[in-house]
Amino acid sequence: MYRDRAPRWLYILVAGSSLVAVLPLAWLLLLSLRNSQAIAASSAGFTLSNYAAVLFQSMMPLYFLNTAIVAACTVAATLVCACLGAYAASRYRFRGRETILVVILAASMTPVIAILVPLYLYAASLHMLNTYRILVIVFTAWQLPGSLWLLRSFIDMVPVEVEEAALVDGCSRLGAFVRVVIPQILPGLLAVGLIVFVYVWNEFIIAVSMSSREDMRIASVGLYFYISEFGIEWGHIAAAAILTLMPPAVAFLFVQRHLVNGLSAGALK
Amino acid sequence: MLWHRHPERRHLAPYFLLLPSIALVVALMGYPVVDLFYIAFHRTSYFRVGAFSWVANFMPLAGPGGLSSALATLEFVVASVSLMLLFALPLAIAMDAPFRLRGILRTVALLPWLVSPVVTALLWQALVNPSFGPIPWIAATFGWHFAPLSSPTTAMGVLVIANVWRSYPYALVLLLAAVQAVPTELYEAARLDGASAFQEMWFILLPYISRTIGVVTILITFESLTNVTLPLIISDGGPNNATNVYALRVLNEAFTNYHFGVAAAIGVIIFLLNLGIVISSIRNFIAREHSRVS
Repeated sequence: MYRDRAPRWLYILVAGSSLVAVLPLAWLLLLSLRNSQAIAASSAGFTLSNYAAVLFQSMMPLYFLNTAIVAACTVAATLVCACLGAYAASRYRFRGRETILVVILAASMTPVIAILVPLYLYAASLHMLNTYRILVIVFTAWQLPGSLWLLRSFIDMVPVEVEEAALVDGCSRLGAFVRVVIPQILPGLLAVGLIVFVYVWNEFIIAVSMSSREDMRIASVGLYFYISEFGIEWGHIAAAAILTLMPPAVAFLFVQRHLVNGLSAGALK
Repeated sequence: MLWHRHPERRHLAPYFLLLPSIALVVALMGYPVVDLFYIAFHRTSYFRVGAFSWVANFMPLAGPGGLSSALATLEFVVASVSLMLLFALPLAIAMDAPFRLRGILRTVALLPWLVSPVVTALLWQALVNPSFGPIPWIAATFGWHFAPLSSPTTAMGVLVIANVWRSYPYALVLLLAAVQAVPTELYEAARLDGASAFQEMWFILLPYISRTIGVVTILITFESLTNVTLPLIISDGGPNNATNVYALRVLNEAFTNYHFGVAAAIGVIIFLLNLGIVISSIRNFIAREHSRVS
């Protein structure tokens, strides 16, 4: 700890940054609660009509459903692949281990925007544009490297002896992994699941390039097209934006402690 | 280690376990990168990739439009990264000290990170909207009437601020973890020797977290360089190409003009810039591992 007692300027700094973080969002919330006449006239008067319009007269509910399906599949696929890989990386010593891991880590830094053109051309030639599959596959590939490294650092912290004891007691290796390792790395799994979920929920570039059909959009893409298709109805857009923010915010508050710990465990190990 | 006692099982199992990860990474990252270079140096017509074309696809980048993109990219990245560090570093130091409501304030300061890029873009577009946005309204009370997105300099300013607002929490989390990891004994020893608060920061804290600052700088440079959502939605490259960064041009060349070759060429440039960043980060990583072991 740098200082035992916080001097006053630290308070001001922290409070100021919290204001900077919160004020724009609070203003967005206010905007979503006023209809277009009220916004134009800068008058008070609150209404839920924007939310009603988004929920009952737009395609946003379908887009939320699309996003939820893609996110659930991506989280499941990422957790399974990353668990297997992380277990191998943590518990086995084999030729090329460090190289494979560093290559996977380096690959995770491949910028999406740089290889968007080849990815789009593959998806088009495989007739996979406008499917859930292509989004799940690409998102999983993008989330795997980071998840694998994060889970590896969690598995590293589980003592091998516990696992050996389970083997001695007659567990199979898979049984030992499921019964002994998984419960111990639950915070890690939770953190990875949350990171992947938030990523999918917020992803835009891959989704906007891969789904041109209106009914296959995910939430962020639907929100983007909200501007052009409905004229700029700022109250509606603000309401749709607030609704889009909700799932990641709720998920984050739910497992916040694990996320912060999990991230720093992976980043600074 | 567990598996050393079962030498016969050592050989193939780990490769099988890593197979799904390796396959996905090779198929969706490795191979497309090779293909990217192939496409960039070949003539394209819509989805068809034709004859070798030398550097024809790169030529649009050498003209005035290309130079303004290079300049816009440089401005966006440099301004974003320096502002994020200026904002996150003091905040990380401040948040390490104990104070009332620390837990809540830490969470609140991280909030923008949860806001998706699309929502961030719409939010800042609305905040600077000349008819109802609060920022032009506040400026007007000081006698400054302006529409931020219609002048090149202020449009870039809005982009940078939106980017910093959303991404500094990422830098903050990593820096805070590093600040917390500095051993308390070092400060105690320095205090016994009569060090001032400034000296403690300058001679202990900053050297101790310098590697993390390096890593964070690399990560946020990477984030800014490849950010396409904010430029697309907030200003769409305008006014007058002032915010037409490389990342945005990939999208427009590919999906507006259907010049996949030119889009791939810009992709190559972004990839090479990133490769430089990756190489330096791996070097940094290896150096860190060595210093930890020795």
